[in-house]
Amino acid sequence: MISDEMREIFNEFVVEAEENLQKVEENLLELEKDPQNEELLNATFRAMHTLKGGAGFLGLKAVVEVAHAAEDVLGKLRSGELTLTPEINDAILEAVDFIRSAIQRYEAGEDVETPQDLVNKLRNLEQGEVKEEVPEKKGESIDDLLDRFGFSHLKGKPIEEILEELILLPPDERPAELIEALDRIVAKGETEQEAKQEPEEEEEKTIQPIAEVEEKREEKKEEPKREEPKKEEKRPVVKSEGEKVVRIDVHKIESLMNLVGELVLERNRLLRIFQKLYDEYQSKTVDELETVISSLDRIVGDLQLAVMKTRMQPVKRLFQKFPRVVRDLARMLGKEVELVLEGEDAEMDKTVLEKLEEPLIHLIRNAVDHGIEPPDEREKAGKPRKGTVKLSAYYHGDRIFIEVADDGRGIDIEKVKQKALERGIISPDRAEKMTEKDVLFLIFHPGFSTKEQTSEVSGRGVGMDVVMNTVSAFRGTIDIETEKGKGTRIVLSFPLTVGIIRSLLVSVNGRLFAIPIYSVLEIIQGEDAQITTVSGKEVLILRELTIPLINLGEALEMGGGNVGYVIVSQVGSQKVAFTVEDLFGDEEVVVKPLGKIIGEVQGISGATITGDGKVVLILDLDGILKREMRAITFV
Amino acid sequence: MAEIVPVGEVKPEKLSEVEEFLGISLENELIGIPLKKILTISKILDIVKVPYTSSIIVGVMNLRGEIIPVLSLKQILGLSESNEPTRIVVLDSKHGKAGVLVDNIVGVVRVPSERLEPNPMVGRYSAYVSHVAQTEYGLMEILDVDRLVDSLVEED
Repeated sequence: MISDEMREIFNEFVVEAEENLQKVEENLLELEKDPQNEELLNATFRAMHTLKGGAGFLGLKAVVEVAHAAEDVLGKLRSGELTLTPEINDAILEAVDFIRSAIQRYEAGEDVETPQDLVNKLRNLEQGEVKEEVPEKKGESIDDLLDRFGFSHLKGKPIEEILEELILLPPDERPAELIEALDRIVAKGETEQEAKQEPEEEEEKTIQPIAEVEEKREEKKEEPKREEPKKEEKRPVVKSEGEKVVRIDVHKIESLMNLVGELVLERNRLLRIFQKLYDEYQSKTVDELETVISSLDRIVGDLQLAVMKTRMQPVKRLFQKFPRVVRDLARMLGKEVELVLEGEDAEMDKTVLEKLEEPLIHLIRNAVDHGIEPPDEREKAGKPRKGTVKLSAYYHGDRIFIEVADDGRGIDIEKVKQKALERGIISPDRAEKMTEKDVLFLIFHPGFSTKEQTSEVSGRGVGMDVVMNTVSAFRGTIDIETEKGKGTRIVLSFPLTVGIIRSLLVSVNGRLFAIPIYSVLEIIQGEDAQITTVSGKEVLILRELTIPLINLGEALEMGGGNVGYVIVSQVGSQKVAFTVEDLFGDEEVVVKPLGKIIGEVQGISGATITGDGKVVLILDLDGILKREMRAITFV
Repeated sequence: MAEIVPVGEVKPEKLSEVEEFLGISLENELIGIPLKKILTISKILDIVKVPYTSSIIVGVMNLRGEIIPVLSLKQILGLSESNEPTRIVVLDSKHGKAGVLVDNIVGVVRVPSERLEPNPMVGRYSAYVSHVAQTEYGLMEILDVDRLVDSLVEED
């Protein structure tokens, strides 16, 4: 159980632990390709060690024991006493998984039992192939080392305690080389005496009052440091991150965003009022006011951008989870797959980023499971045995694109069409007229699956429609390209900013509404639109394509009204046309939620306030379409 | 706005426990809203209807750059709707701000806490009236703002 006073430290530990776990995961996957990479082994060991230290400090016994066992294995890998085998890799990954779930359980206030099986497995692996003794490097004693690095005051303390002390130092003061050297001695010592009672002992030592640790930290800062310049080159990343990154509560950023949003609205009002003033009076003072207002305008714009940027995070945070997914999946399916990551530094809004994990896992699973062929099949087709799945991110205009591409067998369009016919998703008539792309989009239809039996991997009852739903929820778009035998490419795109959207202002029965412009494909004058009915429902005929037509006035429960224009839009995977009365151009609008009391309303994604102070509702065409479809099914 | 000192004898030591309410009239009923729950009182502004919402939600309005839902207190309390509302009272609740339409503002009414009696009525609408009190203007029903807003949020 975590006491209240420890909560804050615990929360910090959770964040740090996740970073370390990710590092371990990443490095292990990298090490599979390059098992001798000493630097990676060291980094992995350190990450596990730091994690163990933190867990020990908080008294998370189960985590400490597993981390300790894993650390010992890593220690032996590092000293060359063990070589990395897939079994070892699996066991350590298992430890990573356990620690992750254990932390979650601790967080929820549960108690966690030490998984003795896992600890034993790790211990056995550790004992497994002990190679001959490696002679100790340079033969320096602990005291010599401490002297050399300027930590003479720690002399005489147990080595584990010294290590904890060093690890608790701020990252930029942490003498990495000394820690490594000490770790090496510890690892050796352990193999020699097989000290079994050691974990408990160490735990006790690490659980010390926070105040004491803080004190010691302070003390150390004052002492002169003698750092080896070589060290700095080795860990530059860690160092700079420690100094430049500040963790801020999301709520603080959100309130900042709201304030800026309001500022933007007021600026728009000011601009409008000034325009009137300018038209009415001509004077030197008005000219002066203009220069002030235009610079204010610019500053507000920059401020808005700067605040938006604080919410942006590199997609790396998300991407780094996938090598593991691909690896596990490929092993399970007996396939050889390499995951290539590109554009990991591209940044996108945090909220969108977090929600993207599920859909991307789904797309990647699909690529590995359905896309990439088994090695033999690939060889026969004249492709390299190892398939490639590429996950990339890039910007284009004011949107960020995320792409999942594989060089597998591609999607069989005829098969998709047949399946859709069998399932009654489309009529034979419609199937005739559909373009390849239209057919491809059928895979996003709820409950659609091209594989005969849903495999354990991609199945699980969720289909591609889940991907589609998440994407539409964040005003994203989806595109899909495939070539038989060559592979499939699925491209998602999202607006860079969530708070502001470019919208088309339309009127319906005299009332203004905003339609996000990304979903608008084209606009047709009412009199030019070819409208007819199919089974009593209105449809738009556009270049021989039949598109369902929705009267926006009726859909919004405000009665029919004039049809001045028809807006053709891309809603999820299909095209839908909406009638409106009039158009009032496009405008950047700040999306404001309707608030908790009204809650989420399907079909309305929020509201905005225009320059002249009017409230305009922002329509969610996807939601309106869903409402309409429901109405059709139930009537 | 009239300040009404309650009728009846009030012992000096009890004066510190006087509670303040904004008295409003709704279809000839006197409703008291705890003053500390009120942010502001505004004229009837442009209210934009939100499709697909219940009739309790009259719409949303722009109050100094903020979008605020406007509720029909009459519907919530199950009253008829024959009088035209003239004011919006903006309430502060833990679920955010909300405006309620009222017919007229009567004024600030001060009631010693011992004069507040639990609402004797039971039923769907009276759940939002926590207490009643005899005042110079007649019987005042005290609105339980949090309960009212809670019930709206739970409905979704």
